Formats: sequence, C-alpha cells, structure tokens
Amino acid sequence: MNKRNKFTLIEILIVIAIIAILVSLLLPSLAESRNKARFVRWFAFNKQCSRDPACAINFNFQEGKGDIINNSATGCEDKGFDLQHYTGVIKGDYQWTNGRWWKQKRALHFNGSNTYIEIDRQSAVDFTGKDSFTIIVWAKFDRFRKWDGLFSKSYWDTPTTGLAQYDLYYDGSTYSDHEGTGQFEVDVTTQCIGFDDVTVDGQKNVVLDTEHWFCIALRNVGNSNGRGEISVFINGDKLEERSTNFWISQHEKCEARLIIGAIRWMKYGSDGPTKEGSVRNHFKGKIDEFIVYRKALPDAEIKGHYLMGRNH
Amino acid sequence: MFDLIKENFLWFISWASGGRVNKLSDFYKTASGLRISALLIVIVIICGYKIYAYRAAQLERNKLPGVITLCLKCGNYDEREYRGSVEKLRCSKCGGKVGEAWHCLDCHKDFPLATSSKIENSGGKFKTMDKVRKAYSCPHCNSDNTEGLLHGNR
Repeated sequence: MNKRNKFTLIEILIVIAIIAILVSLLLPSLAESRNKARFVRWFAFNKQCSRDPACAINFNFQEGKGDIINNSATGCEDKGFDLQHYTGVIKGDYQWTNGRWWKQKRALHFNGSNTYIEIDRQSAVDFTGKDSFTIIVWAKFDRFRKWDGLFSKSYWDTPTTGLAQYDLYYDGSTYSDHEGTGQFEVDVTTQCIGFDDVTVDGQKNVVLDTEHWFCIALRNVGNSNGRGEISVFINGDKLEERSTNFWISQHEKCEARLIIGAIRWMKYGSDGPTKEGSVRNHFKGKIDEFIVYRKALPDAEIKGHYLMGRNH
Repeated sequence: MFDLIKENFLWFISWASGGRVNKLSDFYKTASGLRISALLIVIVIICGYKIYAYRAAQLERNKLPGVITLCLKCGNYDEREYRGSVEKLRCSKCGGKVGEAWHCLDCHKDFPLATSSKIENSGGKFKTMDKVRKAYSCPHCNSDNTEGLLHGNR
C-alpha cells in the first residue's frame, strides 16, 4: 500500500473532533425538537379544553409578559359569561420565566412572599358542595411550607366566622427544599379533607420534590345534600384520603374572589369583616397552567390532562 | 501562561508528526499546519461558545424571583433569591437570622415574618390557625392587616 494513503494520527484526531462538535451541535437540537413536539401537542389539547362548554377558566400563561393572565376559555356556556371578566390579575412581585418545555412554555414565578393571581368576577366559579367541578393546576415547587396555598376561594377564620367554597394547600409535616411528605389538604364548603401522596392507589409512591412539575387536580362530584365526593389527584393518580373532619357551615355566603398562589384570610375592619381579606400562605414556585371546569371530569380525563401535559 | 500553552502545543505537534515538526515556524510553513491551526481555532471558538451558551442557559433556568428579607437582629433589608426555607438564610451585615419582610398597613411598620414552619398541628386545625394568624400579625400594633413587603415599598 502507498504510504500517502495512510491517515496520520492528527488527521484522525481532527476528524474525531469535527464529529464530536457536530454531535454536540445536533443533540441539543434533537432534544429541543422533542420538547417542541410535546409543547405543540399540549397546546392543541389546551385549545380543545378551551372550547369545552364547561371550562370557565383556562390560564395557559403563554402571555409571558405583563400583569394580566388572559382566559382562553372561549367555549364556556355559563349564563352571562363574559371572557373578559375572568382574566387573572397578578398582584405583588412576580417574574415571568420558562415553563415545562423550557423555551416554548411560559410560566409565572411566585416569590412566596406577596405574589398571587386574582380573578375579579366570580359567578362562573362559584361552587357549593352540590355543584360538580374540577380544578387542575400545573406547579413546580421551590418550597414546601405548611399551609402554602395553590388556590383558594375562601376566607379562613374560626369555625363560626370563616367562610369557604374551596381551596387546596400543602399540609406536609416537614419543611424542606428537597422533598416533602406530600400531604395536601382541601376545603370544599363544609368539608376539610387531607390527602396523602405517600400511597397513590395503594401502589405507587409519589414524593414531591423541587425538581419536577406536578399536575395537581381537585374534583368534587356534587351531591344534593351539599356534601360532595371530593378527590385529589397528583399526576393523574387519585390520592388516598387521610382523614375527614368538618369545617365551617357558612359557605353559601362566601363572596371571596378566587385567588391562585395563596390563601385569603378574613380581615376585620372597624365595621366587621372586609371583602378583600388578608392574603397569606403564599406559594413559592412556578405555575404554568390553571383550568377550572364546571363539571366533574372522570378519572381517565384527569389522567389525560397529565399525560398531555407532562414534560418527560 | 502563554509559554506553557505554546510548549504543550509544540509537544503535541511534535508527537503527532512523529518528530518531523519540532518548531512552531516549521509547523506554520506547511500547508497542513496552517489548516490544522485554522481548524483548532475554529474548534476552540465553537467549544467556548457552546460552554458559554450552556452556562448562560443554566443561570437563566435557576433564576428565582427575589424576596425582600429583614434581619431579626439588626433590621437590615436585603433582596434574596432562595429555595426552601427562609430560615436557612443569614443577614449579609451581621450574620443573624432573617425573615420575609412584611408590612403593617395600620401602623406602617415592617417586621420579619415568623414563618409557620415550626407550627405543628397540635390542638387541632383551629388552634393551629390561631398560631398562624398570630405569626402574620404585626408585632408592633397586633394588627392582622398585613401584607408581604413589595419592592416599591421598601
């Protein structure tokens, strides 16, 4: 063989280096295209949810700027429903950031001290224990602090003076930035129920952490006696009920506005309780989707929301 | 530093050429030497850019919204980004414990929030609620008309 036809070591090294560079350029774009495909699939699904006649609020957080969250629930058929009245107004200090699919998805970062979203008009999201409804939220936690609220339509106070329609908050016994024992507690009118996530369907373990996004859903199947059947789901799996106790009885009068990312407490002025209340127990982390249905979704549909929205 | 790089580069080209090229001038005289130099420069630029882009993306991803904190000891205000409990933070001035800065809408004084992390469920939910309510109340005037301190109000 001619000596000229042999490759020298330096030529081989250069070829390897060039291939390595090309691969390093290609791999992130491949991963990005997978993310983009998932985002497009989720976005199409989200648009479909918006057209559901029972969907009253659909915040997909794709604005990515400003202090208004647009409601995309264009299909809502509630009497007198006007989309413009159900936009979310961001209060406090906030930061727009990237959501589940990095570059494509937008999310709102709650600072855990004063950020929350308030919805002004209430009639389409007023529920009692007789009404069926489902609320789905995608959140990524920066902190697990006792009683930090994901959403609430309540005035927390003593059993005789407090008012609650519905709320969902973290009630873990530990306080950690890494993982929580993952107990959630909900109030739906007269009922306050705790849910463990340590056992999901009696089989799988779900441990909450600050690394992943979680799809958390609250569902109430209305009952004519005013005490509905309440369920909480994490990532599409139904949680086991921990305990049931009774909460307050004045839920019918609750005029609290729906807020996302905190809990509203009763505040007393010189003339008694005031409408605006005190907003406390702020959630620290990101939220990039919030949907309210005026119906109880079946288990499979809640799972479907998770499967369409998961980022891995 | 430059000498060290030059020395190592010379050693590399000497080794790669089987001892035919021992001086930098010899290396640059050959056509392949020039091509290799150009390629190496391109490789270094691309690698540098990739590392920079990766680091910038990581920094952007880990960015958190700031929270105004107030030192329990010296009353120093700070803006901090943190995950988890505020209790693990220390004051940048005196090293004391800090809390989230809250503001009383009645007496207009600020106070560090004693967070509910230490509050246990002892005595039932409503007793716990009382403890949490007290934690959010103004220590100066006892009012519960309070809110998290906004950046603009600092």
